[in-house]
Amino acid sequence: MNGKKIKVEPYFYLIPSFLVFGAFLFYPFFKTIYLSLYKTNKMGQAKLFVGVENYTSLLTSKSFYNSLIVTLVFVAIVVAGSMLLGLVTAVLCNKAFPGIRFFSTAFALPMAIASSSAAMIFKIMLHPSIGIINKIFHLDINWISDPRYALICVAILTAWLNSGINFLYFSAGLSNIDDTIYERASVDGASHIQQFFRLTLPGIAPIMFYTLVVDIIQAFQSFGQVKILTQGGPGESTNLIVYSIYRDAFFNYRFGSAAAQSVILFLIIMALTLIMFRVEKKGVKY
Amino acid sequence: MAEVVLKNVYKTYGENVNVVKDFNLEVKEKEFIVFVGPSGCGKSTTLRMIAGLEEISDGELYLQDEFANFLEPKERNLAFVFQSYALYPTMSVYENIAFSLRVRKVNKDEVDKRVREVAEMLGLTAVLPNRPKDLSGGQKQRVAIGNAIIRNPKLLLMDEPLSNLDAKLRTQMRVELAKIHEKLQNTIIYVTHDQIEAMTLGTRIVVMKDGIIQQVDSPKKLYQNPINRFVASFIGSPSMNFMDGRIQINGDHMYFDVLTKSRFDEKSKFLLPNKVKRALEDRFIRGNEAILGIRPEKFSYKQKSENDQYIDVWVHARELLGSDIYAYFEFQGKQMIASVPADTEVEVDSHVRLYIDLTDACVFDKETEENYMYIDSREEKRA
Amino acid sequence: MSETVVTDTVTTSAIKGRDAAMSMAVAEAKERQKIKQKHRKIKNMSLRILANTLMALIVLCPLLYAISVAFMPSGELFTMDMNILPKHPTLVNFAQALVKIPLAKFVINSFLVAGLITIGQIVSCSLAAFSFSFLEYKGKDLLFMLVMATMMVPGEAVIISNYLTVSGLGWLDTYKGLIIPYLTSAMGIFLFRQFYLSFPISLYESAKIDGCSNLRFVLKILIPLTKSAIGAMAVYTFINAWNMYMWPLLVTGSDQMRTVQIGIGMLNSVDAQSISLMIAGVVMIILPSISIFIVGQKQLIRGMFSGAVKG
Repeated sequence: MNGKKIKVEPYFYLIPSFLVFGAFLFYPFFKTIYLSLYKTNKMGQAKLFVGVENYTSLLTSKSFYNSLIVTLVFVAIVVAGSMLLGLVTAVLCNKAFPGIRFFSTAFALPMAIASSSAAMIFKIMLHPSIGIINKIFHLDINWISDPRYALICVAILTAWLNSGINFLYFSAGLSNIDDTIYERASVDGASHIQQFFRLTLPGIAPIMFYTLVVDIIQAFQSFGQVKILTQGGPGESTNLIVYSIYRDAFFNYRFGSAAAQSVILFLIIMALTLIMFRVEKKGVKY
Repeated sequence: MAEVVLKNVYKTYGENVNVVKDFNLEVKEKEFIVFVGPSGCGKSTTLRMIAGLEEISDGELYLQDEFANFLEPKERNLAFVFQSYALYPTMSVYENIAFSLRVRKVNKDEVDKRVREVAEMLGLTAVLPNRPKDLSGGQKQRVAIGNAIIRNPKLLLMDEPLSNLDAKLRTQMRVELAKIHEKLQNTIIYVTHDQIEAMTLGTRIVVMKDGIIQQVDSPKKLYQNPINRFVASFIGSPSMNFMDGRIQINGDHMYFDVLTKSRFDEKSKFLLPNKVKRALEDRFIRGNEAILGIRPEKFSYKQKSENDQYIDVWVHARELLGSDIYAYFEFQGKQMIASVPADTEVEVDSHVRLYIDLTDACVFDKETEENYMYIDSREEKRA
Repeated sequence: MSETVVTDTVTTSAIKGRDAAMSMAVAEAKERQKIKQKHRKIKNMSLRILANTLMALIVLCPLLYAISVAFMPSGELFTMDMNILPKHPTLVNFAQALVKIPLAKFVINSFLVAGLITIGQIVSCSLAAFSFSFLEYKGKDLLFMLVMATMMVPGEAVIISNYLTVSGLGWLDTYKGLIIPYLTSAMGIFLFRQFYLSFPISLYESAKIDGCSNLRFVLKILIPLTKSAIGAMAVYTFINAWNMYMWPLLVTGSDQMRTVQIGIGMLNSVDAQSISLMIAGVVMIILPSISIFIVGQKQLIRGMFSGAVKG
């Protein structure tokens, strides 16, 4: 082929993907920014340019701050919980033993379950009078209607859902560690605990980091469980930012404000991702 | 005091797959023992059993006269160099070398002093802060050795430590290993499939095949006095030449009559020298069938003594290896190699008369393949 | 076995005296050590299995409980007594759930939507990944960066605009609206590209020299070679599409179009009857995704982790 002719064929293969990306990712991305600068009518059409008013009213709104804090607490619990659960289960399954296939399927299984289905199951389990949790532990707690517990319940449910894929990530990370370094460590005189903290954890640090990033992004987007379990309540104690966006747009028809929240959600996630990659460059790199 | 004793050691997988069978060996202090054999002969498994990385199925292992079958690896006070180096990817070279001291909670200044000493000795000082992935193969190898010797263990086990290096580096590291052994004066057990490594490094060599020890001897003895055809062919490069044939006695003389396969009328009967004759005289040889083994360097283009026999052969290829030339020829349907000094005029596709010195020739039993010429050194001492 | 050992000890020591007695004592000590070792091993193994069992019970507890409740007559559920397992298992809840809501229609919708999204993503992602890994052209790196950057945009952040777009196109309550926005994914492109990059470029070059067109290369050589990546992608995408909640909630309005997750959500009201029904429904709709997961788990792991995710 001669160098002067611009080849068009390579671009053909990108068309299907970029059509979809263009229409349902790039375009709405900018449209969201655009909408966030307008007041809209009930149909979601931009009617009145208001500049940053949507943002300023959000930033002065108690409800929005509450939703931010609730989301951050929620994300922290979910990420910590799902990483811990994933790590423990992966470590339990990192050596061959009878039944390992059954157990590893069991530990990965939550990833196949829909957030909405899981929320309905938890709803029964947490039911104040007939729920199995209160019965087993002889408690009388109204888990979902008590603002002290509702967020934790939703967070634990989400951590459980996310632990399945974390189990897979960590298992892959563990199996990537060369077995002979454990043999060498046992000859070198390291105990199992020393081996875990000095070889295993540093060995899976890169994949843990990757998992952390994915988990955080994922946790920020939790929706189904809130919608079904608590509808953002009681009060606004589980009003996660995505749920708040949903409510503003589809109940209050304030598309502009919802768009502004979307932009803020995007900025938070982008900032977190960038910070983490910067930290990673300095820290765990080999 | 014996450093390592293995008594009737077996390694069995499943019902009756024996990877190592009835292994008996006594290793003395400061010896450099080499386990050598083709892959799958059980040499690495044996080494791993000594280190405690592999369970001993049956038999007994003693380390410094202590029964050690069930000791944890770390309780055995030995060091191990792995074929894959097994460097900790997340730690710097410094930490890799220091690791075994760190887990023993040796104080920091002492660790630092010893790491620097070892690094100095192995030429690693400049790369101490680097990660293993930034090192060359030879440097990784040195780090692995550094980690092994920093505790100054009395027993150092090495599992094919040089097999991942290129030829030149391998030679260089071989020399360095010999130096390290000289300097540290510890006991080394070394596994390799490379007989040249075995011959150059070992004070004693254990030749294994199919999980069974064939012969344990010094390099020189192994070469001169192999116990069977396997050892004879495995030790020495190029490999020993073998000819099938029969022993014939004619009056006072004993001959080896080579099984004729060639259509040409080649000379095929050798007069066996007295040394061989004496060794064979009082042996019963079934059907008088035997195998004659001749080392490649026992062939010559020139007659060296009047006892030399000769054959006329067609040389079809040659390889020049600096000091020697390998001449490839066919004799009675078998490929053979003669190794002659480089100043010999070896022409390809030429008819040549090769003289053979049969004084040190080996004669093997056709069936058991044992060497009739083998002299058991223990019996020798007793006599 | 041990019997004979003991008798042996007695006879030999009697004959050979003190030395032999001592060596037998050593042998016995060894035997003891051996048994101890064996016990330790068995103990370690049982501890591991025990820990795994406990953990598996915790992880599976919600599912097992849901199955149990699904078989419980609603009278049994509504008591203050302990009721972990149904005393009189019944299928009534399942039958009722099927009657109360058009579950069959929801399941068909979900299969259709999830299936088409899966096929669509595999096609679009493998084509894009082929272009990114085997072809050379202007702007390639930039375009690939653009694709990777989309991973950072949370789907929920653009969902409002997408809703407005889809409603503007008149696609609300249609399959088009449910499916088309999900016909590609950055993760899929990344996964396939990672896989393709593990092939030597000479694979492509030799095909070119043999006169093979690009499309033919993708269909005849690349796709058969990437079965495991395709399998992984299929399992992952299908499960995620099956479990999709927010988007179908927004764009579907009628029973004709609802997917299972939304349909079951409709049963979500707290009157006595419907709790058992709802759980029976949940169990029924979890089954397909779990079955696909169990069947495809090996594929999924092999495809997703063979070099795709490495640090």
